[in-house]
Amino acid sequence: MLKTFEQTAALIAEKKLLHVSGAEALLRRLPAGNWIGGSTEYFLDESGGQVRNDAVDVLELNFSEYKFASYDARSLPNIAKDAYDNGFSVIILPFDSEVHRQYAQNAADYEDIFLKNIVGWISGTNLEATNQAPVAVNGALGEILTDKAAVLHISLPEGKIAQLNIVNIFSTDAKSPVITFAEDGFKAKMCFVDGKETDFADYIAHNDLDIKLPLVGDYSGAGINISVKSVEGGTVNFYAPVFKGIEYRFAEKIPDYVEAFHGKIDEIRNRDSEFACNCILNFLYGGLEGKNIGGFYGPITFGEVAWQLLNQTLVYLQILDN
Amino acid sequence: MKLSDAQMKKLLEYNGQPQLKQLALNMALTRLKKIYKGTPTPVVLSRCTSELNVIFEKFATVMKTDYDWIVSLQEDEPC
Repeated sequence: MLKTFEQTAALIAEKKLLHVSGAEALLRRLPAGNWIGGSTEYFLDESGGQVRNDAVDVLELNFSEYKFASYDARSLPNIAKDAYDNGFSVIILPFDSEVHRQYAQNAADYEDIFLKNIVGWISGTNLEATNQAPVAVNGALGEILTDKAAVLHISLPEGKIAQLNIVNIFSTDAKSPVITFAEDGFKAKMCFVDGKETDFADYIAHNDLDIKLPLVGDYSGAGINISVKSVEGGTVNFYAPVFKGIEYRFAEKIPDYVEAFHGKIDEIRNRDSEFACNCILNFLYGGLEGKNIGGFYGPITFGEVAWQLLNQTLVYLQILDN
Repeated sequence: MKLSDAQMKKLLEYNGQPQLKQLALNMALTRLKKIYKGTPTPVVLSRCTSELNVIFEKFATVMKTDYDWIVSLQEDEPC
């Protein structure tokens, strides 16, 4: 829920456990306390998508056992090992930082990663501002982080279990060939199109492909999106790494993002979430400003985490009876 | 809920679209498939089986449907 700086500072003074997303300048002024935060000026709530630098999105987390941590690129692989056995961990990583890249490329191999629930997001800036930096905040230590991840580990009481899931409005275009890569990475010059080595930038240009549509990776039946950031000088740059051994296809065009989200979200019976975030590219390409997608509100982010880094995806976490 | 190495092998070599409901399982299976494809030995297979069984043991409540699908794969589906 969007709150003013003063309302948020008052909640921190009451020692509430909070997740705060908002403008870098506001986060820097908030007092130390039981909170974790990250920078974004884009939000989704019941009144639709909003761009605000005069309010922050505040999520109250009503849990009694928790711990804060900050991780650099060297300690980041310990995140799942450090998480509570029954609980969840919220991670916030500054965009384009070393920890962002480290997590994106290696999270699937972290010890115990799929035995814990790791949810979170990549912090960013207002895309029209030139004087901002993506930050994560470990409020407990009063740390404003540009090169570390802020993490809040939460333990759940007996009888409760966390369930992490995604809403992916994209599906593969049946006409798209299978695209694979010889190496992992945030960029690629060459790829294999149905097994034939091909210049990827040329392939995109010659086929007039819309790079607002993500590559959808086949993760044993689940579609995981990788967004194309740019095509520059014959290199295709991505917002998350592509991986060797994963089969990708370009996504099918979506005529109406709001309708697509409603279609997916309306199918979910229980729409109570403890945490949710959605991608800036869905916000921008789907024209979500002022539009209500029907649930799972929260910050608009520059990459989403559901165990691994995702793009163009809505991520949500629910607490269920076990 | 515990898979045998034979069930795990069938799952790792399955070429169709797995019908899994839990995203963690899709991601974990993708990782294990890569590992097993790189080194398809009985030792690695056993490690993969153990890793997935630990996940099933921990999340038994929410992964029963996925487990049942994997077991049915053993009975019904050709590789």
